[in-house]
Amino acid sequence: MGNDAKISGNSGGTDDRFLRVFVGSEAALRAFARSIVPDWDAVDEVMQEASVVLWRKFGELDAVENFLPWAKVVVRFEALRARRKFARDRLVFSEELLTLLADESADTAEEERLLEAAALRRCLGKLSPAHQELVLAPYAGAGRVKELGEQTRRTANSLYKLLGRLRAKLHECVGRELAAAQRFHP
Amino acid sequence: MNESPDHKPEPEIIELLHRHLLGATEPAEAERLEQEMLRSPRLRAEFLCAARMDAALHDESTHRQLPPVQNVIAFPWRRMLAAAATVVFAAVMWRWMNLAPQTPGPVAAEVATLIDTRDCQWAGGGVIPVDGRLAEGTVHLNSGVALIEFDGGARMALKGPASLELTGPKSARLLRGDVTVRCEDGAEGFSLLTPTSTVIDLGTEFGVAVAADGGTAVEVLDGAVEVAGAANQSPATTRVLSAGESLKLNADGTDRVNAAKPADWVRDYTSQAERDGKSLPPRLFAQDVFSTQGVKSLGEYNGGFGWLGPWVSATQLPSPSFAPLAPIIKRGTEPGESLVLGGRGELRRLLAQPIDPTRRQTLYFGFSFHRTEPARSDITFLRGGLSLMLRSSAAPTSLVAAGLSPQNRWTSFDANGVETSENEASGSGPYYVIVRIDFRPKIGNRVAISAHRSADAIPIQEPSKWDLITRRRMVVTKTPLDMIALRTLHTSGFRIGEIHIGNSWAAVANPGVVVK
Repeated sequence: MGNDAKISGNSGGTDDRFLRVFVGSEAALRAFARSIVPDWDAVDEVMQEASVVLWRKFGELDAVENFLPWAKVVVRFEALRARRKFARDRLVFSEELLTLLADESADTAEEERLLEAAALRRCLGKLSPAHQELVLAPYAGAGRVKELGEQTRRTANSLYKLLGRLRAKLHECVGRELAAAQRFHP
Repeated sequence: MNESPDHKPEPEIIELLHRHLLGATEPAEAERLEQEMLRSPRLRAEFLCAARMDAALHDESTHRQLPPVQNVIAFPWRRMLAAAATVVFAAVMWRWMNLAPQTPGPVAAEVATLIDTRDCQWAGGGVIPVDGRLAEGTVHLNSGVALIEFDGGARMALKGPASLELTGPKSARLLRGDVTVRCEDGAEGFSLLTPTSTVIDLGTEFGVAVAADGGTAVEVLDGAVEVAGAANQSPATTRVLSAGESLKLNADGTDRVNAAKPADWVRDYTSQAERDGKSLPPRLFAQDVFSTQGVKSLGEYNGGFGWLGPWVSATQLPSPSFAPLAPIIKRGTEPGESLVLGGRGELRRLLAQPIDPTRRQTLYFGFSFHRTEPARSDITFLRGGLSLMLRSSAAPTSLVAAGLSPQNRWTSFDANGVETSENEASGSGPYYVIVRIDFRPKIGNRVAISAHRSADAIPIQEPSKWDLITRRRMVVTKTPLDMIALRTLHTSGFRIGEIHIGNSWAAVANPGVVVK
């Protein structure tokens, strides 16, 4: 299998191999980083640092199919390191808890993540358009939730509470969908 | 650490997990979460699930805000990959891939793809590239024929001069000009509005012409359609027309059913790539008929052609082995045995020629198999499932798969989800299954499955009706697909008689006579 495909170095023709493998694993790595750091800006910072390390050490990787678990080790290190910085001004979990989470998150099978994402899209589609917009608002740039609050005459605080409830509903729906999929997904 | 017994967390605590991810918890709430998560592995698992959901929502948000393809300049991906030489570039790529989402604007939804153009002159002199995505809105074609594939599955040949408003994945409004529409199995229900009518496809093919005064002529070329008068007519008329019938609806609301006169309808719905593919002689790229010649274990075997190395077990399969063929009938002429697989596991074999999914192309797979114990189910009351996958050794999520589910339905899945056939597979096999995979780099792959009893004759021509044609948006795969995997699920086993990979239906339907 991929064990035959040794990585010979980190220059010349391996650049595009690195990029292909990196891009292929990017979503999984970002999701992994998100389980450790407090927000998406922090994920971007961690990924940027990690990508440099990964590129530099790509030649040490024995086979491309081992890229994801190997890259998770690097991302984990960078994310835990970043935690110390973020802990100064944000509510972040203790290093003990984050280490546990990082260990347990590293075991998540990639297919499980993809099935969850597909289930989430189906569940999101069941919400009303207004609720879908609210659920996606936190990712649409700073102040979007506040803007929606102004439009609907609600405080940002009450919208975040509603967001929490909607996401808990999605969480439950994803669990149900996956349980159903388990019955037939090969 | 003192971990609590595993129990399902209350909805309130799940809500708290999500608010924490949104940065909207109070210090006391964060402290409570911390303590409970340290105690409960189940709650940590729920937090990790919540974090993955957050990542998926982030991706979904970015995806929904991308403008339609036709309005953006294509990113020179391949060229840039080739030029990648420094880590600076990796960082630039990284930044490019992670541009902060912009505030959403009113973006029209993409609903169709332009799959072929024949001498097209668009109004205003613009060019819509083949394989370009079309968003909701109106297109004006001065002359020529444009072939449009709607995301709902219908194919439409639009003949200029014509103006067409795309209104959804299964609907459009013809303002003037001629169209023909073909709805293959599973794509029925396409509706075409005209100034005087709504034409709803009930299966197969029809032509509609709208004259300058708004009068509409509808002709059923194959199958049946339902034609309703425009809503402003009173009383509204609805008729079902069958093949060979036509209806003229005048702008003044009067109408008349006629026997159709031969008209100059465009009835070729194939793209250039499909025509090229069909004109090629049948060819097989890889084949394994398990010509074992006395070999009894998988490790000793390296037969077939088109492979790079032997089959390798990627999981703890309970010892795959070979067994005499019956009751499977081989379609290849070479003799051989069958490969026996059981339990939960995956066997993989590298292809000598990896498939480039960024190139628009169609591949065909033919494989035969049967369940070793058709009636056996495990403790979940499920029988085994078998999938044949085309996947990448470099990126585990790059895959396209087709197979038989534990519920005995034909199934196809990729990283985006799974679809199963409406009907169960007939009988208990053995089956000879032909899978067509259309690689469509801009709009996502499509899989079609046609199953046959292995002893039966297989049609020479590719059928228009398949047991399953995927309809959802499948993943656009970029990594070369360099291996075939056979995956089994649950306790009962399968025997696989042969696998053929070729360039056409003919190549895999009758592999015994194909030149390799």
